[in-house]
Amino acid sequence: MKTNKKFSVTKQNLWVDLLIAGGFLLAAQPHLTGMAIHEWLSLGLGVGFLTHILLHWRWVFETTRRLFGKLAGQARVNYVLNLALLVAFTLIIFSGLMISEEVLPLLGLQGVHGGVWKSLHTLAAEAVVWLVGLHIALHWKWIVTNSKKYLFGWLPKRRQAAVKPSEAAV
Amino acid sequence: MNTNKKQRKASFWLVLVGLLLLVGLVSGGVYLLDDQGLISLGGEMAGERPSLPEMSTTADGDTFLPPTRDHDEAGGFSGAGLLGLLKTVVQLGIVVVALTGFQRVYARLANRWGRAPAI
Ligand code: HEM
Ligand code: HEM
Repeated sequence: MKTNKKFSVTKQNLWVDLLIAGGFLLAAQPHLTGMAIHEWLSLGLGVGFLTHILLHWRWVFETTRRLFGKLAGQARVNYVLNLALLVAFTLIIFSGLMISEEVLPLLGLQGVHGGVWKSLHTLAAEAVVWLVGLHIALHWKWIVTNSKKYLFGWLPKRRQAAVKPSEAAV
Repeated sequence: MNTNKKQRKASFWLVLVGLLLLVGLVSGGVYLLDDQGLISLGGEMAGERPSLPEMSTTADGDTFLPPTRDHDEAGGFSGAGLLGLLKTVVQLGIVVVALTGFQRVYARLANRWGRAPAI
């Protein structure tokens, strides 16, 4: 019971979100990290995405059920975008595995060099940056509110008081 | 509640299977199109496996020159890699600023329009 009191689902989501955001930023720079890190990190990121989706599985389930019924417009927009993200990342990770130079050889398999999979990987990786940007933007308010609460809660409260009037004006 | 939970679990596996199916379809489709020469995503190499020795000679030769060699020698990260990171961050920032800005303006206008008929 005591642990329940301290545990916050929102806080857990915030940490997972921050982790996959950082992971994504690094995964998108294979030339910065080198190929070995790129491949293993991206696979780990895939696990992170799975966790992220599982933590929102109830939302996915309920929204799917109501998709063609009564549903807030914003949820519908989120749904379509989330679906696009899911498809894009599935393709990226799959095509990444196909051209892998580190992970596949370790399993005794030979990846392909160049060709369609590389083009697919690069194109989808370029496009997904915009999708992730939209996904973050659509949850921006949530991110700011909860970062203030859970990450920067230890800061002096003075600044928050100064922010309030301007917020009221907007 | 209990059956709902069961349903949610079942649908998770359904989605997972669906995803695998999607991957299979896309890979099969792309492979087929490439094999028939109907798409040229792979450039000259479309539809055939490049011979490895040939690839490695080109890669070792003129194409694989790091753009900032002198910086690399100084140690640390390569400037090009960091520039890529900056590019991604700026891209994400642009989308966030554009969308939240639009939402703010839209909310303001909607507020005005919403009030107008009432006056
Ligand atoms: C870099 C990658 C990603 C970041 C930074 C990110 C971040 C976020 C944030 C901040 C939220 C809202 C707060 C929360 O409840 O956690 C959220 C919600 C959500 N995300 Fe992601 N996400 C990412 C990738 C994905 C992917 C690949 C999917 C795949 C489908 C996805 C699906 C969802 C779903 C279903 C929700 C909840 C429903 C909603 O309000 O949209 N996310 N994400
Ligand atoms: C979130 C997931 C991923 C993202 C955002 C991503 C992004 C990228 C980007 C931007 C490039 C550079 C393309 C270029 O400069 O031409 C690249 C290259 C590459 N990626 Fe990924 N990637 C991801 C996952 C993976 C995975 C899971 C693997 C393999 C296990 C992988 C293997 C590769 C390889 C081998 C290359 C080099 C291609 C080449 O230049 O020949 N990637 N990736």
